[in-house]
Amino acid sequence: MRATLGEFEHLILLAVLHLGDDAYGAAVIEHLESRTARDISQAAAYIALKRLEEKGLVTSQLGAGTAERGGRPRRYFTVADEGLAKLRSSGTAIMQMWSGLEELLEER
Amino acid sequence: MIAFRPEPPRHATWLLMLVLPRPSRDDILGDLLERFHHQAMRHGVSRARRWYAREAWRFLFSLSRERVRDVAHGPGRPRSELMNELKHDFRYAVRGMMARPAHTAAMIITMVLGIGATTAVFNVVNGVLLTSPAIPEPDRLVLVYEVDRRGTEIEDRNPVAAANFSDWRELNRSFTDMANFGMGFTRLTTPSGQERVETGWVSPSFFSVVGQPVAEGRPFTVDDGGGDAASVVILGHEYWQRRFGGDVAVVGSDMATTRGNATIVGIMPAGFAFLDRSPDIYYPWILSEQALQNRRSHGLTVAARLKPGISLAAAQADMDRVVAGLTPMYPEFLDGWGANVVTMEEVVVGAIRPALMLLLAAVGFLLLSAVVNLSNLLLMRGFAEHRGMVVRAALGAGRARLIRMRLFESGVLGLVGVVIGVPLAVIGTKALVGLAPNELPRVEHIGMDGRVLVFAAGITLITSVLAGLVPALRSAGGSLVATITESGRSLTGDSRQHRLHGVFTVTQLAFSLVLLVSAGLMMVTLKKLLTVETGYNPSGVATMKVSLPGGEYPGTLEQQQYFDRLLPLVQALPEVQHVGLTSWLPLLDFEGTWSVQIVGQPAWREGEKRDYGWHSVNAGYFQAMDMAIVRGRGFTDADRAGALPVVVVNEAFVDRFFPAGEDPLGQSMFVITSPDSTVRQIVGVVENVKHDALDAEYKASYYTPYTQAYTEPGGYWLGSMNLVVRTSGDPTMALRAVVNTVTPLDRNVLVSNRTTMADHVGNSVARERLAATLLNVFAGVALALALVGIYGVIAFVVMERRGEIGLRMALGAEPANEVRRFLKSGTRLIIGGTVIGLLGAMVFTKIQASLLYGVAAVDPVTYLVVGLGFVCLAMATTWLSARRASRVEPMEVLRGE
Repeated sequence: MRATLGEFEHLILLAVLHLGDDAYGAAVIEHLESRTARDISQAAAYIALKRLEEKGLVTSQLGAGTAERGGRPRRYFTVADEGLAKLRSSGTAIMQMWSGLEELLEER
Repeated sequence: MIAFRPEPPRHATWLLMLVLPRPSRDDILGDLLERFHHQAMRHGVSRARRWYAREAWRFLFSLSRERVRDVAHGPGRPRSELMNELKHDFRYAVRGMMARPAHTAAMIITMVLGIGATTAVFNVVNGVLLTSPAIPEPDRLVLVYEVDRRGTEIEDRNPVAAANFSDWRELNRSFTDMANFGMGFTRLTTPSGQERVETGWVSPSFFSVVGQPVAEGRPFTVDDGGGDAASVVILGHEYWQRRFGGDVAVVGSDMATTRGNATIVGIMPAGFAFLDRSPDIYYPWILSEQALQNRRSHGLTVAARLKPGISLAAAQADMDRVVAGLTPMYPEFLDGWGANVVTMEEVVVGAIRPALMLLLAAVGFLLLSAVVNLSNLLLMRGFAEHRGMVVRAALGAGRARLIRMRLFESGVLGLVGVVIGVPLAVIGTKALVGLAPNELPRVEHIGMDGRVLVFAAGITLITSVLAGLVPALRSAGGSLVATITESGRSLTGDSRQHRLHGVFTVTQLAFSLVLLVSAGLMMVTLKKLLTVETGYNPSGVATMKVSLPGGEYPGTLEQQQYFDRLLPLVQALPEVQHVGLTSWLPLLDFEGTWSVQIVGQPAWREGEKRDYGWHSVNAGYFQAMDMAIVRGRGFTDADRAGALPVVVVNEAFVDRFFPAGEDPLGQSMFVITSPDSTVRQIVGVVENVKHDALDAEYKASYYTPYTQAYTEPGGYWLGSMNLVVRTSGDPTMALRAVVNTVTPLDRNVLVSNRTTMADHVGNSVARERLAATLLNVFAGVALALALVGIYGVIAFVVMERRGEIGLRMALGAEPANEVRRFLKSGTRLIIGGTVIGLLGAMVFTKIQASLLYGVAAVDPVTYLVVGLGFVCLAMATTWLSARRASRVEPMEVLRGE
């Protein structure tokens, strides 16, 4: 298995964490879009979620549907322990690299 | 209350259903629908629909790229299982095809024809229109012409007067530089004998304009032009390889040229070609101070390179400004004149482009027609196998699997199509080039390259998917229960299926009618061109150009004496009836024009358009070309130097200079803008000929006997003449005999353009003939496909309704009535196809308008004739097929049920 998380996967994991119990596919993507101001390909997001699930970094389960969704179920995602560990290690790595460069990199 | 809910585009949802992996299909579709509603509220429905559609397509591309589908079929599904399934489906497809050889053959032929024809046409288009010449930034290269607006017809590609060229070069702000150049042929004496070489005459700036530095040595400089003899030459790369074996040491050494010895100063790079020509030897062309004063004779071809960022329109505007500034200074020379900037691309391929684009569009229609035909055939096969599919579905084969199996079939067909079709396209390309005009540009670029192969693969893929899609969805569509019940119901058949067949058939009929109308218009054009009153009779006439080397024949007198000796020898050949000689051959040479003055008419003023074609001919020319003398007489051998100088004019000349009906005979005229100002008496009027092209207007011109040519020392008036020989038998046979007479007289004389007058005529309509021939082939194939289509669909419906027919006949219905019923439904399809086809033709034929002559793009007669013929054929086919209904045996059918 790859040692580090891809940037996109990283972002998705963080979004799932942010949303907590409300992290189903559409919400995750909307969250990402509003926070990163990017146009995110739905297909790419679902492929990434699928991959994360296969790697055991997230788990998913189906929940009830709503009328707005034509009664189709929602799939809720939870970050697994292994996912948390991955996030911590790559977060630490990034923060260590940032330290000392705040002046240069942070917007004033 | 029911709230209004916007819906996402149906095709997108349908696409998603197809591509999403089953385990997560529902929740992803739900997510997308939820987001769609959010977007609709926030940004409006149409934007949300666009978003939804875009995302659906993204799924298609991403999923096929990621192969997530395979992975997502459920965790742990081994890859080998999928491979096994694919292998099985492939075998199933092949087995199914083998089981119905006739049906499969029909599909393969359709596929091969579609792919082969389209690839062949694209191959030519690719070579001629899409391949860039080996010149840096070729799109910045332009040719600059003068525009002559003085006459009734605007001539917008007139060569340029040297003084104007010099001013343009100095005053323009659009070009990095401008150059003058010329191309020709000459015969060189080399240590190993005579050889014919292609020559280029170029100014020193030529090399920077084409952006191509010499590979070895140096380019020309302005100092290279001293004296009359060319003292330096540059060699073309191929010639250098051929003659000197690529030895760099030849740079700096001398070689013999027709203009005496010259030093080789440079070698051009490999593959260099300009205006589709690559000369073997380049001579410097440096305009003398005296030449640069000349604003009267327009003789230079001018190339220029646009400065970076300057558009063609900006350059044209700049040149308009330059000419407008110069005109007040030289009104007598420049009034009525302008400048015209044309891209090099346009000069090289402008004439052939419309024909090629038309053919590409037409072959596209043929391909679509093939796709529809394939769809129809697959649909029928799908129907025949319905029960098999139902059983598979019942045994648990997934919907996706069933669709895939169907698509596999068209995929296998595509594979066969490309394997047979591409080699066929190679052969087709050769045939196509053979049909094309002799001067089809960039022929050497035509050949299977990567782009053509990618194109072939692309159209194959599209064809396979398009052809397989509808049948695939049909065979896998609907619920299982419905499918099983449907398959049990066979008395009346399935109306949805019929509707599909109907739509397909109407489409095919319409496609083929569009092509038929287009082909019809081209046929009319060709017929009109070939029956145009040319003014001469080309059949039985052999022609060749005879060019005399300047060294041996330094003046017009020597040139005249050569032809005095040659003509009797040719005349003496047994197969020769008349031998003619002319300076400008119709359909081959541009006429040289000089201004004339009729004695007693108002004097010519500088700038007035009075220059018309001046032909030097012999006494036999009019007979050799079979041009009728309308009044007075032609020339005789007595019209020689010392006798009364005479001239014969044509009818257009009479209309131009004697519009009030004065008798031209006995009037005198002379040429103003030439050193030869002999006053000549008009002794005859000859009929007009089409000189430049068969679709050109008649132009005024005048003829003088070569035996009375102006014998200027150093003049080249008769240096290059055309022999025109009318023969009793086959003119191609006579050609050899004539050449065998010309060559022994002087082996240094260059004989070129050996062919027949009929060939010149044929070649001048080659573009139209190419379009007409191919359109006929395409239309014929499309028509055959459409007729087979309508035959098949009626036969299919009859077969399906056998039960119903049998029942009705058992109850006393007349067989003829049954036939009429099917004829009626066939007629509906035919009327639909004809109406759509004729409307489509009105749009389609717009793109061929520039190729038409003597017929409008929307020509009622052609549309009516083609349309009626088409309806009759289609009706006859329908009747043949519908007749089957009368042959149904009621008892047999009912027993079967």
